[in-house]
Order: sequence, then structure tokens, then C-alpha cells
Amino acid sequence: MYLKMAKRNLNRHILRSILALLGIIIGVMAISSLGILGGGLKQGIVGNFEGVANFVVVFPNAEEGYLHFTKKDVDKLKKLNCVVIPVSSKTDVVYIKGKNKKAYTTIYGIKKEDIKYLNLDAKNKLTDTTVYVDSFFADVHDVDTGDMVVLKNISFRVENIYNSSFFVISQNSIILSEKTYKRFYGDNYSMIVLYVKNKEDINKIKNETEKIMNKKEKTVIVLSMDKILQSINDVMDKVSLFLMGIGGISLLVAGIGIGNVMLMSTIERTKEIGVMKSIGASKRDIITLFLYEALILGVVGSVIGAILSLGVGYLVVHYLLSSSITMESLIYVFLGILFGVGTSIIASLYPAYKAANLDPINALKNE
Amino acid sequence: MIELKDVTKSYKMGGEIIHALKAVNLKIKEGEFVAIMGPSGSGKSTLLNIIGCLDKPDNGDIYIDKIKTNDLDDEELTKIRRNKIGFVFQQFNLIPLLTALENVELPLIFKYRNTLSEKEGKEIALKCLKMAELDEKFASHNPNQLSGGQQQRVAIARALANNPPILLCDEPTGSLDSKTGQKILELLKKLNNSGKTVVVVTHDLTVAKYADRVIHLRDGEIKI
Repeated sequence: MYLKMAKRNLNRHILRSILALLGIIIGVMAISSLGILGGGLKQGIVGNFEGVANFVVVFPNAEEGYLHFTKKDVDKLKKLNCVVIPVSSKTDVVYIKGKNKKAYTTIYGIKKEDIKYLNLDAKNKLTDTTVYVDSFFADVHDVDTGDMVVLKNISFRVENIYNSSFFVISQNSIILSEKTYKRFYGDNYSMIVLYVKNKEDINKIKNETEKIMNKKEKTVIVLSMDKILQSINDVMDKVSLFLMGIGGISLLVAGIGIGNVMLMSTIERTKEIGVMKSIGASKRDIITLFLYEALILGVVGSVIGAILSLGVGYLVVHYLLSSSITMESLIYVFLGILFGVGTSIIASLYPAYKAANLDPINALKNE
Repeated sequence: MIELKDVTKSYKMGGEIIHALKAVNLKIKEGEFVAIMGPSGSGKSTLLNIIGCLDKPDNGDIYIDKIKTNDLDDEELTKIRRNKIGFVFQQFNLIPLLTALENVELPLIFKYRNTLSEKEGKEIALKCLKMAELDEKFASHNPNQLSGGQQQRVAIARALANNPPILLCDEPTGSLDSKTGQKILELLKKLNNSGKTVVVVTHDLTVAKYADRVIHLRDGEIKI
């Protein structure tokens, strides 16, 4: 009966109820679609870094005057339980054949058999007469597989285009085989990448590397991605929270709307409440009645809002971030519903309390 | 059934203290039909509110069905209203959202919550409508589809729902034409004959014809 009365009462002022409902819908939509957006953002960004999470990267400590590694350094690290990938790099000019264009770019020298560890999305095998080109470089200079680039007057065929993994290989770059690189620039390594199969071992490998290399003075800097990944994760979680906070503001406004509707309803129904009290309604009955109304607004609004936000979230995540909605995003939808219903109930607590505590005599006199 | 001992009540209105009731002593026996008459401002509505546990006196004791009500808390007063008293108002005061039958069911819901099945509730409500002599075909009507007399019958049925021993009526004929009013009074008399204690506050002199006793109230005091 309470539910019936609550429904009919909301129907009595249908336009007002719809407006209050709209507030909740927009609020829930804002909170959950911004949550989904944050989640998608995080997934997109973290996904970019996920490929390098298995790396420990060792740089020479330039502050102490160490600029590159030698073969001896590489050998020292070989006793670690991981794949040791020496990487050389230099900036140089590359000509693009047939386009009469030159480009400054970072040139990497990597052993042919090591390339597969670097998560470059490169399938074909690198040879001593071919190069790999980064997708960014390829885009900017309009280079495709099969084109020729010229380095130190020698032509190389572009064998493959890779997606650089930021941390290890920079974006505007090309990769040569180690042998070819050595022929041009000599024998020096600008960094050593350690590929650790098991992410849990990363810290151990890091410590051991420090022990081996930094015996007397700090000759190397050791970095791993897991820490960075974690801090990116933290930052992205905060971004999500912030976005949801913005959504929360709209929900707050919706809550004020509901509170207002309920308060008006209390005032309009003063006499009715007085009658109900005189025929035996307790405070609890009156509060229940009002909370049912808030609950209807909250549940209906939240569910509609959640459905719409799934739609909006899907569009945003799919087309803007070109990733997909994750299970984590569904948590935001659930949170949106929770906040929507919670807001409606909290907003109507005061009006309900006020109605329950009306003096029945004054309420009855009210016309 | 109802006993008031030295009941006083005053309230402030526009900075002026109004003594609505001055040491009122009153005894109403079980099964009595009592009319309380008096001009406006004589304190008769205040008296009815105090008997009906809607208002508390400043001083004095009140007994309803042997229960001393003047120092009960809100919740206990609610229970007395629910179980001992049926209210009938001048303006009928039906809940416009509910059908006639649902209006009658409402006090049952307040009393029994979920312990009474819907079917039982409906049966009791229909029985009450019958006692109030309203045709069953009006049960599903909304209050605004009913005439004044019919609405007052629904209100009386509602007052009967929890089978209270006392009916308190505040100007029950005040909004009705004299013929309809008379029929309502006949109904109240019938209910009185079936055992209900009926207290009617009114201006209407015809009420006196039906009452066992008329109490005149003037300036907060009873004049016999």
C-alpha cells in the first residue's frame, strides 16, 4: 500500500516527478560514464606500457662520466637469470629514397635474435640489409614496407613497421641489426635491457644488477617499469576519481532537486499527513511513505541513468579511446546506481523527518 | 470510558494567551452518545483534540478506556488513536490518492503492517463500508467521484476499521445539506446503538435530538 500510495503521489505531479527523475538520470549518467571514461583512459594508457613491464633497463650513469657500456659490462650481466639485450643508439640523418627527403632520427642497433623480446609487434626477420621503421616515423615521412631508406650512402629496404614501446625504443626511430650498426658507428652500447620472464623477479634482478655494476661507484642507473606502471596506475585511478567527483557534483544537484520536490510535497500534503496521523499513522509510517517515493525516483532514475551511461560510455571508449568496456567499468555503473539511490534517500530524509514530526492539530487545520 | 479531571489548556495566538479549557471535568460512559455544543472559540475543538490524543493538556488527567493518556509518549498516543478512537471530520479528509476501499484499509495497514493479508484487509474494509451503509459499487471510486454524504460514509467506515470503542466526530454534518446530515446522524446513532461511544462536537442543533446528553461549552467551561 505504501508503494501504491507513493507511486500515485508521484503520478499526481507527474511533470515534477519527471524533472526530479531527470536530475537523477543525468547525475547517475555523469558519474558512471565519467567513471567508464576514466577506466577506459587508464586501460588505454596502461595497455601501452604493459608490453614493457617485463623490462629492467640499465643506463650508464652520465653524471659520473659513464656514457656507454662495453662488451665486458654486458658479459658481467649474463650470469643473471634473464635475457640480456644490449642496445646501441645514435642520432643520425636518414634519406628517404625517391622522396628526396631527409630525416633526423634515432638509430638503434639490436641483435637480430633479441628483437622478439622487445614487444615491437614486428614479425618479419631483420637482416643486415634491412631496417625496421617506427610507425610514427613511417607516418610522418610517408614510408611504407618495401620502401628504401639511405644511411651513410647505403640503401636499406624497410622490412617492417613497428610500434615503439616508449620506454625502451623511442618513437621517432629506426632499428638496424647490431652488425650493421657496428659497421657505421662502432662498438658501444647506450643501454642494456634485461628481459625478465617473471614479473615477480624484477626486483631481485634489479638489486643484483646494482650489486654487480655499482661496486665502487654508481656507474649505472637501473630502472624498471613495474614501479612506473604502478604510479601511472595510481595517477589514473585518481583521474577516474576526479572525473567521478565531477559527476558527483551533478548528482548533488539532482539530490537538491529531489529534496526540493519532497519538501514541496510535504508542505502540500500537510493536511493529508495530519489526517493519517489522526487515524493512527506513526512517525515511522509517514517516514516510510516518503522514503518509498524517494526510493522510486532513485531506483528508476538510477537504472535509466545506468543504462544510458553504458551506451554513452561504450561510444566514448570505443570510438575515442578505441578500447573496450572492461569489467572494471561495470563497477562504475554499479557505483553510479548506488550513489543515485543513496542521494535520493539522503535528500528526502529531512522532508520525511519534517513530515513525520508535523503537529497533527496544525496539520489538520491546514487547508 | 472517557474521563477528564481538571483539564486546562491554553495556547498563544498573536502574542495573546488564550485559555481554551479551564478546569474541565467530564465523564462519558461506555455506549453514550454525547453532543458537545458551543459557539466558535468556546474550546470544543480543543476538547475533542485532547480526548482524541492529538493534543496534550497543560494540566489535569485524562483517562481513555481506563488508560491515563496525559503522560504517554508520542508512540503510545499513536497506539491509542489507532486502537481506541475513530475520527470523523467535517471535511471528510479522505486521502484523495486512494479509492474508497483503500481509504478504509489504511488504518488497518497502520495497525497490522504486514501481518494482515491483503484479502483479510479488504474483507474488513468492505464490512466497514457496509456498516457505514455505502453501496459496495462505490468501493473502487476515488473520493472526488463521490458525493459529500458518500464521502462522509467512507470516512465513518474508515473510523470503524480498527473497531475502536470510541467515535469522535468534529462537525460531521457541517459540510452536508440538512437531509444528508440527518442520515449521517442516523447512522451514528445506529453505531451508538451497536455499542460505540459517540462524541460529536457540533453547531448543529438537530444533533441534540440524537444525543443522550448535550454538554454546552462556553469560554472553556462547561455549562450544564
